[in-house]
Amino acid sequence: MGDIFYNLLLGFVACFQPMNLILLVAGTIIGLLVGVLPGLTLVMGVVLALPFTYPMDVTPAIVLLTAMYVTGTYGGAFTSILFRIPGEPIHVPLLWDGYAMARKGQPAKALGWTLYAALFGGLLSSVIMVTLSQPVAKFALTFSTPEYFAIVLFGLTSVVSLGSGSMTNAFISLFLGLLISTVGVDSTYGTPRFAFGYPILMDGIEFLTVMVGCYGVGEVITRLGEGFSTAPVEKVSSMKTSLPRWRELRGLKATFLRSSLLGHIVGIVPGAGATIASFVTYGVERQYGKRRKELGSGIPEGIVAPQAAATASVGGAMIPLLTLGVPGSGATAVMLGAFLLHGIQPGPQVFITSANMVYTVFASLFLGIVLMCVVGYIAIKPLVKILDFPEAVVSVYIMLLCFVGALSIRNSISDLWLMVAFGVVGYFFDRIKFPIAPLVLGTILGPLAETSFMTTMISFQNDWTIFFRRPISGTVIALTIIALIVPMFKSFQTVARKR
Amino acid sequence: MAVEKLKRIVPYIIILFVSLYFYYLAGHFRFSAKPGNLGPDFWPKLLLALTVVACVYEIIKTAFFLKVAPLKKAAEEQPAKAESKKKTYPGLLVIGIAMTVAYAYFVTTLGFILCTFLYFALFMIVGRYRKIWAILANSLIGTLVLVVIFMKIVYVSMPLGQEPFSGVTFFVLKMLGIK
Repeated sequence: MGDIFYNLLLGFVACFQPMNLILLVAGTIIGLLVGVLPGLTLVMGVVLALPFTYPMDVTPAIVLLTAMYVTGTYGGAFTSILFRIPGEPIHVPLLWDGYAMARKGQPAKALGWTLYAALFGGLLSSVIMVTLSQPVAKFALTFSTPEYFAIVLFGLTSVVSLGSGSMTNAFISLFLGLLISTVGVDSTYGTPRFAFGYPILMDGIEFLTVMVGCYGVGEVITRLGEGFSTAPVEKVSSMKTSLPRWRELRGLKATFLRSSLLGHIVGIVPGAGATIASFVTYGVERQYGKRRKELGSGIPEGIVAPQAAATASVGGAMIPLLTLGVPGSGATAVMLGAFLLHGIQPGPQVFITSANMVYTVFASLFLGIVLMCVVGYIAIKPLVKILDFPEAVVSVYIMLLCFVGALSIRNSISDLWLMVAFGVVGYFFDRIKFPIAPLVLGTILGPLAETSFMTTMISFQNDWTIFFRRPISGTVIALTIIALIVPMFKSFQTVARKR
Repeated sequence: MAVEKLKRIVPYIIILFVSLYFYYLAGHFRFSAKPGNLGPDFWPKLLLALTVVACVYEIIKTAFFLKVAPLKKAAEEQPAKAESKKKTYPGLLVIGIAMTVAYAYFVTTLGFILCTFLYFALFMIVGRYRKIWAILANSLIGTLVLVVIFMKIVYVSMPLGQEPFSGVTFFVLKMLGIK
């Protein structure tokens, strides 16, 4: 434990180095702006920031992205409460009680509750993250390829089962993503697969191309098809934050604690992320909260629960990323990309080889959360001003950042072509209700899944029962099966009830 | 009703046939694996087989078991939903996609600077933004900012273009002090 505190202290010191500090502040402000802008999602924001990190060292790069990630879970709260515009899907639950409280003439108080919720959820989750990461990493050092395959499989399955909409579509999207990751020269045998003789395809398809195309270009094309017809924001008389009193806070301590812990746990589950965390905790509050019957009428519990969970999910999502190299959310998937671009493979070894970097990232998360609340408190008015920018202008900047992002991955025009193609795929996926997240996660985790599967098969003479016979991989596979069966069972139940 | 079902099935049919084609391609990978070991074709074939199964399941479910309300009736039953449905602009969409493809096509010829400037301006016009001075200012400033950040600070190698357009690129780079 002493080790952890010492390393964390060094991390705080490193955060105050000029470059890290500048990027922390920049990440906080940009993250808040990304959160405020509807249509520019948190994941997209982190993706667009990635090309800027190429010339940086890995530590400042991750500090910037982490700051953007955590503040992105908070910025959208302003617009949800003040204008009924959720900047992110995360903030949809805030419309129910946050906007209702604002309509009752207490917008400043509603903003105050979100500030405390984000602060408490974020800090508690960060403490848990710091405490748990090293032991989890030590434990993960005992893992072999069957365990890795089981964990990746669990991550991929949970992204399918936790998503809304058709499970078959999510599976197809996932399989296609995994298939995209097989393009290029196979790592075990050196055989070219689906390359069609193109040199760029021999090197494989970069998951960043898929990500930038599907999330960035696909989203902008979709909105262009709707004529950039977002309604202008209404005028709001008061735009300041009024903090709740200590007595009021104590009255909600159970909600703060429950939602933060739950948000953190949901964050750890690969593929779940902040949106699911905020919806799940609102649902829990509706079932078990003290004032559950009043939920939706503008009470603080309905604001605190989703906001605390959304911010707490960030610390949770960082644990599997850093200790296992398995991203827990879309944004951490981009961070995995940033690590890989800088030649670092996250996983248990990173705590031994790059402990300074890991603890600087941890410290930056603490500082980022505090900074986001300070900036959110004092600068809400200028932040919300960004909504006055015409959608066409904001969108063209997004598009061009996507282009630059694609061009800078390998300095190749072919990546630009691939990104445009995936942009069109993203658009059509949206039209035919195929979720994009499984496709992207499949592309990212595909190589790890295949390598760990093939290595296991070679090492254990093609004995596939090994996945079930080893205690850890067996348990994780059992969890995977449960994660698959439960939503299927629920879906059959719903169909049966309808009949 | 049949048309509605067909509409829903079409994406799965396309994915099914593409998957079958790729399965065929995977069967022709050249490799030399030890007898009894899985080859590099196993993993893609497994994924493609699972995709085929998922598509077939969805096609059968939609074709034989799904009750689809006739279009007219559905519209009558849900007038509010129909009203709230967002207006779409297929023309803008096609132009937007075409412009994006054109950017990828022309960027090597026109160069990053000229192509980006034109894309900036045209995209805003296509996006129904009509303030001409704002468009020009955004296009110019936006392009220069991207050039300075990515060609001067981040050092990304952007296409310079071919003659005579590369002349514009070199002129701007010289003005910005980028070697």
